[in-house]
Amino acid sequence: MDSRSPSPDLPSSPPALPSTFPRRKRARIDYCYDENTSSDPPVFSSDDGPEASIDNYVTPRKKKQYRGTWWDHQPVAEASNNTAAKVDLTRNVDSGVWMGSDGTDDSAASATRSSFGADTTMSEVADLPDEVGRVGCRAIAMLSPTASKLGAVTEGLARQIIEQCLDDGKEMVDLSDLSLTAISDATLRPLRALIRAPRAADAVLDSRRSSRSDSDLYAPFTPSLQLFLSRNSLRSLPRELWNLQTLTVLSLRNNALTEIPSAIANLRNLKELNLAGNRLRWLPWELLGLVASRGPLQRLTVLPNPFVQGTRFHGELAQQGHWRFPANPQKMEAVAAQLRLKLQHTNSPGSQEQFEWLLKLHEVYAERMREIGDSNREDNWFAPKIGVDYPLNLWKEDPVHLASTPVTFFTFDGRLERHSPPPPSTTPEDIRFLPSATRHTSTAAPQSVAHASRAPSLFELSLRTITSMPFSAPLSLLPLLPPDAPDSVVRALHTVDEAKQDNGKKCSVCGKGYVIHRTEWIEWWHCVPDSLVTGLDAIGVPFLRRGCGVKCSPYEGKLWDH
Amino acid sequence: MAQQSTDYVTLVSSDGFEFKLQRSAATVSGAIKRMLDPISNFTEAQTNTCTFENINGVVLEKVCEYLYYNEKHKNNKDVPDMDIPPELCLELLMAADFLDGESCTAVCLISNADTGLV
Ligand SMILES: [Zn+2]
Repeated sequence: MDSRSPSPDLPSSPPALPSTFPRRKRARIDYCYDENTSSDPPVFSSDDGPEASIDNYVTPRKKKQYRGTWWDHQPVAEASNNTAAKVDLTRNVDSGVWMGSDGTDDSAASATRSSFGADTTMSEVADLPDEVGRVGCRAIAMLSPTASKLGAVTEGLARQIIEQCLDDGKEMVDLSDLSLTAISDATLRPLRALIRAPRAADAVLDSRRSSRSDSDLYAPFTPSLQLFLSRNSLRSLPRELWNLQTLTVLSLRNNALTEIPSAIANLRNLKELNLAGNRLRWLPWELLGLVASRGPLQRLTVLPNPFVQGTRFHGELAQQGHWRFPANPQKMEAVAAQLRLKLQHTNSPGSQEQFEWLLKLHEVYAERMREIGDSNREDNWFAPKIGVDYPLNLWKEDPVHLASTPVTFFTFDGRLERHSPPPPSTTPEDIRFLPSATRHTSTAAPQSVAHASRAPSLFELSLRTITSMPFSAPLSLLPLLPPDAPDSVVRALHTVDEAKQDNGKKCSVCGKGYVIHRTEWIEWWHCVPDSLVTGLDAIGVPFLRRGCGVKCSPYEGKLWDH
Repeated sequence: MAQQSTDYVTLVSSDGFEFKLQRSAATVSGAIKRMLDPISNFTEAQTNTCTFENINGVVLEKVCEYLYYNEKHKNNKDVPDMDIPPELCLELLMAADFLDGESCTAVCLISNADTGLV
């Protein structure tokens, strides 16, 4: 029997692809779209046949609704009136829970909270509104006090303030207290063009006086943008914000934000960031890259926020409400030894967990202090003596990894893998604690992960190709799909589109650009570089982390030790 | 008479192009693996040949290139991305969706499935 001709009585395998490709369309893939089609995601209709034309997907850009001066927007403002009122209402209901620090307690530094973790001491300088610069705009707001409640009108006001800052070459842009419910890319975009007001005379004088070099002379002209959006009602942030490379100070304090995107890593000049008083459940792992010795960030204020917790503190600790670290190696070792004892004599897993977190911290710090001691013994610039405190910046600056959730795995097309724990990024609001594992309690990789391929899937490779196509919007490919294209393919094109608008995503493990994440987990890090005393809620702050492949997870390699 | 499983299998495109490749490389695809599974009783398993009615020769050639690329790099760190011609990306995306099926890079996490986690 010819091996190629199947015997007639055997069933055939499932049919192949759902249908043939509309060939004649393929030749018409147009890589140079009209600007208008590439920007706002059109609403996809899965009912569209191959005849569907790109025109069906062209929706008017949102941007157009706001074009012109702000007072032209009465109709838009009225339309958004209801939404604005609703937002205010929800916020009032919720605000009491975590909006502990308001504008009024800026200066009230609580002894138990570090300025780096909690919103207390930060921003006496940073959040001081520049009233002088806003006098003109305030006057306009007063003419129609009720109108200032309307989203579009207040965004118009925001535009005016930005315009004025651009005209004056002023780097401090204060958009706080404007009742903003949203802010668009178009509003922020002009800030890219901000140039520091030339102070040529000063610079020349300076250069004569101190024989400065040319680079010093020009340095003052690179702006250091400071943007204050505090005490508004923002629920999300425009992508444009993450393109403002000259940002040095960003305050988003007291808004209604639920997510900070990983694109925040683009802000390579950011020195101060305030995220306190939002609805954040975790921070993007990429933010850690800006902190301490890894980046420019000197002040990061993240509390209060309803972060997911990785451990419960009980007993004595909980009553105390805070933890104090010793500042010299001998005491650090001693506390570590005490914690080790406590760990041995505690039977309840919950209590063990809290001691494990603290023990990890003290061991890491003791180790760092030992290294400092060793490296400085010879050159004697800082000779550590017994009982002498070490400066905080030498050993407490770098964040310490404490615990992680189990890893969630996704299929090649982004669905949850069978038997995988639910993704931490979908944790419902009423869940405050997630199961976590420390270096001692974490389990080995599931066997199938060990056998998985390191090569990206063909699906992923095809999507990466779409990302790198110049001038083409991924969503404009939708009409070229056959009418019965599987949902996974349609979903994937939407994912590519978002990834492209975010200028691509980078794997947190291998650093490669990717489209569909295959792993996700949360890591709790201690990140309080400037204080020996830490509130219990600041001991471990959650960071959401994602990997591009099944092998890009903490089960592989040295993600545990830093 | 049905043939035994062989080391090589044949993939046939809709327009009649045949590609012979190693079974181990081909069965990385969940769909191909199921088609060729000896206990499945599919025609394909008997003949060691898979015919794809809706994947043409150009696309199937690229699929085969991928299957070898995957075989070659499955244990390598820093895998370079395979080149995909832009004009093929949509068809390859559809083909990949079909071929990967349930489990191309099969991650079946926990063997005793009754954990209640979905
Ligand atoms: Zn990766």
